[in-house]
Amino acid sequence: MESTANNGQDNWHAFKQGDENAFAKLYQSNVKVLYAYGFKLLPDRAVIEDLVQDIFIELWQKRETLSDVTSPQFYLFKILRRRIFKSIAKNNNIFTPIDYDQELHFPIAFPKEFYIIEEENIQNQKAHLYNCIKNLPIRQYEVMILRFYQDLSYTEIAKILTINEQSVRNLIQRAVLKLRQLSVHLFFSIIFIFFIK
Amino acid sequence: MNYSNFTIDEFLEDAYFKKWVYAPEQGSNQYWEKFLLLHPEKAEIVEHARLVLLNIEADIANNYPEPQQISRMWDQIKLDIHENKKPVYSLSNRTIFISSVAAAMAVIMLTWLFKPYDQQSKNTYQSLVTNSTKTLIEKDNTSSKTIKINLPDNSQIVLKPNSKISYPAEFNKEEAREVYLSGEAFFNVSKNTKRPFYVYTNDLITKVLGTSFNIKTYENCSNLEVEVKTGKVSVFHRDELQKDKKVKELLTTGTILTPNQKVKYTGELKSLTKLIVDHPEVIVSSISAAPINEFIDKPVSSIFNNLQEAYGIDIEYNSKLYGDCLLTASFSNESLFEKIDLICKGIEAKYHVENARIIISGRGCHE
Repeated sequence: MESTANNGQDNWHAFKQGDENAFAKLYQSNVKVLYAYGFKLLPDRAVIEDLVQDIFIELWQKRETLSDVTSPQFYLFKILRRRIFKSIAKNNNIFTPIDYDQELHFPIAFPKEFYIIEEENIQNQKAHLYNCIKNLPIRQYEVMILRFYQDLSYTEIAKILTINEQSVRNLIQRAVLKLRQLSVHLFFSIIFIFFIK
Repeated sequence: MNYSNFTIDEFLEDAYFKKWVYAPEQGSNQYWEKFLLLHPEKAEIVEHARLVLLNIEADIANNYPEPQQISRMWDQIKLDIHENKKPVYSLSNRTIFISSVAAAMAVIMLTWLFKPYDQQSKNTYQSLVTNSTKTLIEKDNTSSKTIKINLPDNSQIVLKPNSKISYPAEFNKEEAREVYLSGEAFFNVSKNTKRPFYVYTNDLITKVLGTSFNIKTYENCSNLEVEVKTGKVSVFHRDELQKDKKVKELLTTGTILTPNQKVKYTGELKSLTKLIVDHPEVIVSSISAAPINEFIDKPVSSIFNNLQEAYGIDIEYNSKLYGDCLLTASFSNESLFEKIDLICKGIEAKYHVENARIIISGRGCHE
């Protein structure tokens, strides 16, 4: 983690000085997760594609005014999230706005085949866990991605979600609790899997 | 780090642990193997934490954009930052994609196919050459082998047997490069956006933006076909040139051909019809998408998108009816039309070609 963090820092510096290769690297290492994250919040591929593109264009245009200390991920997620909600607000009549005070589930619809497969694999505990993650309320999910997948700090996540740090901690705790509450079977099957490996 | 007292939460928070799960390396593998040997009671928690992280990753990866989408977005970003413009919202992604392909394209192939013609055209190779104001050099290949010609601007021409070409002894630095062709030739044109390259053939003029292409023409014919394999050319009738003199503007009025499209010209009717070439091939380019051969439970829309980009041919379908039909398909050496045919069988649809586009029709996959 240390070395990548340093590489990230070096790359960020190079990018700020107008190095296009550094910019390309920044794009390549962040575009996928940004896009996927955005898509969770607003499942419209065209809109997310435009927003993600614009963010990178803007990042490049504003590169000289960006601060040194903050991680690029932090910037990117923060702007993307803000844009998405702006876009949702603007198209109120087209997209159902996400009510943030409610513990809403993700706006994802699975094809019916998914449920058939899910039926078949009902014994598959991994799918169970996966489902559990999928069905986390959207804000808990966001926090999980930012903290556990992007390794952003609590302070950064709080700024991205525009909530206080304690709320971030609470959200994380609730998410983890949910994932921990999985059936005892999971543990047995996991132990089993672990030992036969 | 004393991991032996760690709870699941703490493992999930730990950067080194996360890095091992997401990007295991020899060092971290060894570390955690050793740790689990020493602390077998931690196996359960470690594995649980690992599964949680892997499932988070799997979920997010589920919505990753396709590789060609990533490169298409990148092309657009580069275009924007180089033009120093505000982001363009109105242009469709498809338009942007095609123009960026065209801009970077290196190879252009044109094939002109002729039918015997029955009407004397005013604009024959001979008349064009005699009317030219410049001092022209003519090369006539009467041999049975191809000959190679170097143009003053470092462009190269491979002239096929029974073909003639005329070109200025010197290209003026400020002017467009104009050559006259009868027969068949392969061109490798040095790139210079300030001095476009024109090939005059009977009634039609072909403007080339890329660098190499092939033209086949015979003097006594008026029906012809222009085929583009890769690159971008604009084909227009001479009459349009005389109407408003400015050749530059014709790029917008002419028929623009992109890869795998061809234009059929009927001398009698003076009409240009845009079609798809008989055997579309995958575009060879660093920025266009490679065709994906294995689709497992993919929405048909993503398969169509991939084909669209790999072959540069528009595929039209009702996304409400077919967009999220799931399909598992495995292609090997099928041609584009065979692939479309297979997909159509899978989703109970039909297709036809119209105006150089493939149009999918049917009742959709939802009952």
